[in-house]
Amino acid sequence: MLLLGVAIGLAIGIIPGIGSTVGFALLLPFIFGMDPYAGMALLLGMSSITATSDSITSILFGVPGTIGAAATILDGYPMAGKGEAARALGAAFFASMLGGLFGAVALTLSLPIARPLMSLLGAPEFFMLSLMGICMVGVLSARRPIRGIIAAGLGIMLASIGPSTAVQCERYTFGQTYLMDNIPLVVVALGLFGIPETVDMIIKGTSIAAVPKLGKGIFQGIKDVLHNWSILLRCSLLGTYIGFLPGLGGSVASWFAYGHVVQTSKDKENFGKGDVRGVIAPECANNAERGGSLIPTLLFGIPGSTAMAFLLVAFLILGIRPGPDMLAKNLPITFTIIWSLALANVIAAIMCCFLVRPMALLTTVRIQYIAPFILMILILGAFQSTRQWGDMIGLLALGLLGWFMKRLEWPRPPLLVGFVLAGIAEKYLWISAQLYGLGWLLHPWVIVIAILTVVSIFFTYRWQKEQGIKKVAISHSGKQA
Amino acid sequence: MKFAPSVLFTIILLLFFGATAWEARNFPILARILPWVVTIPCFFLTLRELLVQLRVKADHVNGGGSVGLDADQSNSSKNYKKAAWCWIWLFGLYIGIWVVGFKVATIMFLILFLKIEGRATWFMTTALTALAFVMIFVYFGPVFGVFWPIGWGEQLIKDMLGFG
Repeated sequence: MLLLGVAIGLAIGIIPGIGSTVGFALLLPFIFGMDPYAGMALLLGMSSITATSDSITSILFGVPGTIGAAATILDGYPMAGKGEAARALGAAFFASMLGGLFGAVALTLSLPIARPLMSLLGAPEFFMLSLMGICMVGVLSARRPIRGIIAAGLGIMLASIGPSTAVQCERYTFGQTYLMDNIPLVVVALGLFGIPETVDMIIKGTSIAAVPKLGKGIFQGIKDVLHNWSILLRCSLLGTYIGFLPGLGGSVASWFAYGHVVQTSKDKENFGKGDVRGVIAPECANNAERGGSLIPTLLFGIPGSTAMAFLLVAFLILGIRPGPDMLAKNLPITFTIIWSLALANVIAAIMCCFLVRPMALLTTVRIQYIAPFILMILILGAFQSTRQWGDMIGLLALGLLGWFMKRLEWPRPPLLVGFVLAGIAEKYLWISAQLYGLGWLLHPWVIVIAILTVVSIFFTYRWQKEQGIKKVAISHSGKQA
Repeated sequence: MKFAPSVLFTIILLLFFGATAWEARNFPILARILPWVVTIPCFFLTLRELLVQLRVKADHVNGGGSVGLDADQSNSSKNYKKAAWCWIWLFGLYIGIWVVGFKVATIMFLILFLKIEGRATWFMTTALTALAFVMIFVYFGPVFGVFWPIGWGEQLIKDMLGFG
């Protein structure tokens, strides 16, 4: 299953416009009823590897395979222009592998730290963590934080359709039987992301005309990574840390890493003109981010990105409940996840090195040939939720909503995260209220998490406002000149 | 009065939060707390967002900055036309599934889409459709126990032939 996931991930990462989000959408229908170990291996194999194969189109064609590979273009594409495509690819694959292994190690090392931490956390703390996850994803994943918060609110309201947690009551069902059991998570996830991405693929209708010459030098690229081991370590650490923070995601990790390596290098003249360090930094950060983002997802049930929200949906389909159980009775599954992540990165790097030439040919396939299959699988996937027409109508309605949100620059990840966490948050809220009355608000960790949340939102909002003011000032000064 | 799509969308969100907050007053008190805690602040945040959008639009009309109008400007009528066709294809697939069931509808959809939108040759269309049929209906479906939506027409034929 791991090998199958890696093979699918390699194909998905290399075709521009199809990222791990659509990959999850394609695989979700097939994991119903699967063994949890096999299901996890399949999904993690796919998800970990799109961050490796996406560098192929970035380097060869200047087109990012996924958004996380956009930073690789800055130096990878010029390297290909100078006839060093193979060297850039070797560096990208090896850096991706080591970054992914770093993320897996970080996840392993977080387990002994997390176990005692879990014993300090109860229902009030988990409620606050859910709230923090929703707020941070809302604020960090949108250009305008206010839109992120509104989108998260919309997600919470969609999740409240159906039975109430606290009392016997149907909310917003209007007598419809289908709505009396909550809108299925799979339908929301596939509708919000799968349909809009596929529709936009069809609209753009791109494919790459021809495959350029790769040349030789893959092993030179591998040597470059070993030579720049300090960049590898620093950027992997940065990627893991960014993955740990809800709301940021792989594209931020790769840009941060690129910016960091440029700022901290003494000789910067070659950056942007084909410097191999400009390939190593974003690629290792992009892969390390996957391991980092698994920490809050597995241990607290708080997905930090869209891909992690999909993974959380998959956990629930497979009957795995993230949280304290992942360190106790589900510890074997946790280790399966870590090993799958590590092995998948190694296998993918080796496969990419040997198969880069035939894989590059995939990019010449026209999107109109692929898109109808994706649509079919999305509809089929949604239908597996409850096997009613409501699943398909829900998919279409949410697909329309997601498409308009994408077009009008409203963020979708907060909506999905709000939807995923709403039920959990409401459940913990009622447990807290029943056990402690209003006294839970004075628990020390509740206060700490609340302060952290408010401070993060405040500083992010202020920073984004400053960026907005700078933008306007630049445009005004441009006009006056 | 003509509104930009982004302003219309914000108005729809505003109405959504208002309506859900209003509807929540019919729930028992414990069940209405979460809806009100979410919808009332979101209503005011959406209202603020709407006012900002309208003010930015007014500034733009008066020759000021264009921050926030990027989405409306980049979504040209050509793009919306292409998008409309894409959605029509999707609605057509749904109608097909409702009438004849998933299997027949998707085969017809693949052939028509590949031929018309994809401008594929008959050979390519047939090959890709056959590949999809084998992968999904012959392999993945039985192996993973996938269920197919049954159409009204398909059910009618099954009933007539006694396979109901």
